[in-house]
Amino acid sequence: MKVKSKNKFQSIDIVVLVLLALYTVTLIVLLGWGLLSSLKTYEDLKLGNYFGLPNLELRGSKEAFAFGNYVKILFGNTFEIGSVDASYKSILFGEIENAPDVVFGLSDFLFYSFLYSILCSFVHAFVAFTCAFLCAKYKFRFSEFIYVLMLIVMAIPIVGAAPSMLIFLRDLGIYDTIFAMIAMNFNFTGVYFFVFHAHLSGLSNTYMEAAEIDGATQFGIFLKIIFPLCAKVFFTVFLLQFIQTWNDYQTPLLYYPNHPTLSYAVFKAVRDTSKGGMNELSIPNKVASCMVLALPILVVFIAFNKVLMGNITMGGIKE
Amino acid sequence: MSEKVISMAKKPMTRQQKRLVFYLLMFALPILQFLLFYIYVNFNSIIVAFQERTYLGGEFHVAFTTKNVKEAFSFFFSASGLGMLWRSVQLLLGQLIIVTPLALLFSYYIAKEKRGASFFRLALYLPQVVSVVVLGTLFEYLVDRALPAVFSTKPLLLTNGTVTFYASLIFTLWFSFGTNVLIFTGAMSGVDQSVVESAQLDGVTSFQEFLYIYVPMIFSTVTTFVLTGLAGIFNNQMNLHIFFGVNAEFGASVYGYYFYQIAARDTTGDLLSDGSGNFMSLRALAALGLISTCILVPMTLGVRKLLNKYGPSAE
Repeated sequence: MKVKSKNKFQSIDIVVLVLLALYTVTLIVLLGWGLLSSLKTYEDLKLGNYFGLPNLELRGSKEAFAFGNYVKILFGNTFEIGSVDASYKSILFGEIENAPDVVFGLSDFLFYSFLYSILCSFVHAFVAFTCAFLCAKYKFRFSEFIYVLMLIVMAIPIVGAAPSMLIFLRDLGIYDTIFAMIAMNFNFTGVYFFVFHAHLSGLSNTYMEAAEIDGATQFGIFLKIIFPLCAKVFFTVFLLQFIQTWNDYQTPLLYYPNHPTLSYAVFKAVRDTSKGGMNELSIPNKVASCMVLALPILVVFIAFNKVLMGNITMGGIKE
Repeated sequence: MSEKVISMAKKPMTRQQKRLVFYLLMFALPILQFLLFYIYVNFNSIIVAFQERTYLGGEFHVAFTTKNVKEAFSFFFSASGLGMLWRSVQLLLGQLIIVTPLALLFSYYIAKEKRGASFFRLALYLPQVVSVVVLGTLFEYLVDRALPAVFSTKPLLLTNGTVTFYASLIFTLWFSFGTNVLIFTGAMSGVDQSVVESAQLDGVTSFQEFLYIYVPMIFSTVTTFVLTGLAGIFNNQMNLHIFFGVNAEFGASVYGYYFYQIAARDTTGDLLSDGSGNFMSLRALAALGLISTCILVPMTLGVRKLLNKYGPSAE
């Protein structure tokens, strides 16, 4: 429902407008400054040209911007990270050697980014959707129990489970594997379970009943009738999850160190102070790597902003 | 007897039986995952807190100990621990006192479709889309390199712990409106317009409309966010990891960062402290997590009860 104001533009609106404008300006300045810096040479910055346009005379070139920073990141061999020794001792399998001697480059970062984002987002969205469907449409006592359990899981914050998770993954012998990636995301806890549950609860049961009369199997009903009916909300959740996982660098850093995503690599590029590491990249190179990370997700955001900006409610309205 | 068994075996499943089989099959794996990766991991977190494990002669030797809990307790109540708790509380207060009211005002402005509402909605959500690695890096270079080089100001992040803390705090709060605004706007769009129109006929101002109609109507949503923020007191890393990796100065650290910092540093599971009294082993960290959870659970439930009882009512 659209809300149209019949009020005039009042003083409170002016205050909010000023604050919003200030917020937007800081955001634009930050991103704009980043974009401009990524198009300068290191010499430009060394001479103190942090805020001006790129210095053309310095490069002796008619080219307005130093796209070389992007060329270096995309095609050079400086944006690379080495594998880490992630050997460990497993309770089930004893000593596990996990020290691949390889160097990861941009193609690896992109591969792992897409693998991690698509796989994890889809797995999590699908499992949350499936369990929400079972709870919403199969009125067994267990469904009610699961729903209440999920509420409790949301309400009770558990702090510091990362050490225990690390130990558990190592004990199982799946630390630093793609299987761990899938297994950790094969869960239905979290807010999206409730988003799907609310949507499915509002869906009429007549679709399912009619299909059952026509002899459809339960799995067929789920996959061919219910899933297409909820495709829009599923896609929204998938996209939100995709953005989150694309930008997530900490989970791969902690649990899958030899599966470096682009976000992980950019973090390493910015923070790596080791000798011979990516510290040798200049600031404009590093800022260019940030822009390379931001670009794909901005494209997704621009393409699907109407879907993402759709109304997702949580908690409801008091009647 | 055997004929009866055969006839039973041939009998097709009823609708209810088919539903039950499907239900059990589809739930089996997610429930198994939940039992292992949530229940066991969190239960194990409690066990780990009371364990000492050594690897000798190719075998694990596990022993019960209260050493980790004692270490965690003494850290929690030490000057270092309390200092870190105070910084975590300041982050929470910033979210509750600054971010939430501003997010509500912004959401009201957007829900009422005032000047530039669609544009501002996109702008507010953009920091959730662009990686915090990107925004954090640009912020760091801007305030620590560009501004000092041009205007001879002091760097904000690479100074002492207190200035670093407030610089990270401001950055974290400033770019945290996106999700709040998205959800609040969604909730506000469901407010009954007949109530709003009736109030407008009575000559209500924009601010009164916001305070006495919109906020009470979506208060259950606000409550959810307040509780999420409260739960984040021991989880929010305040983006310190972006700025410093695992090497942030302890004087700027908050609990959420500290938990990640130790877990990321400790690749063996049994890292010893560095002697400064500021760092501990994974097992002592698990005990610290347990203590934090024990504090947080009654606090969250209590605040929820208070908000439900004394929060604004739609009536």
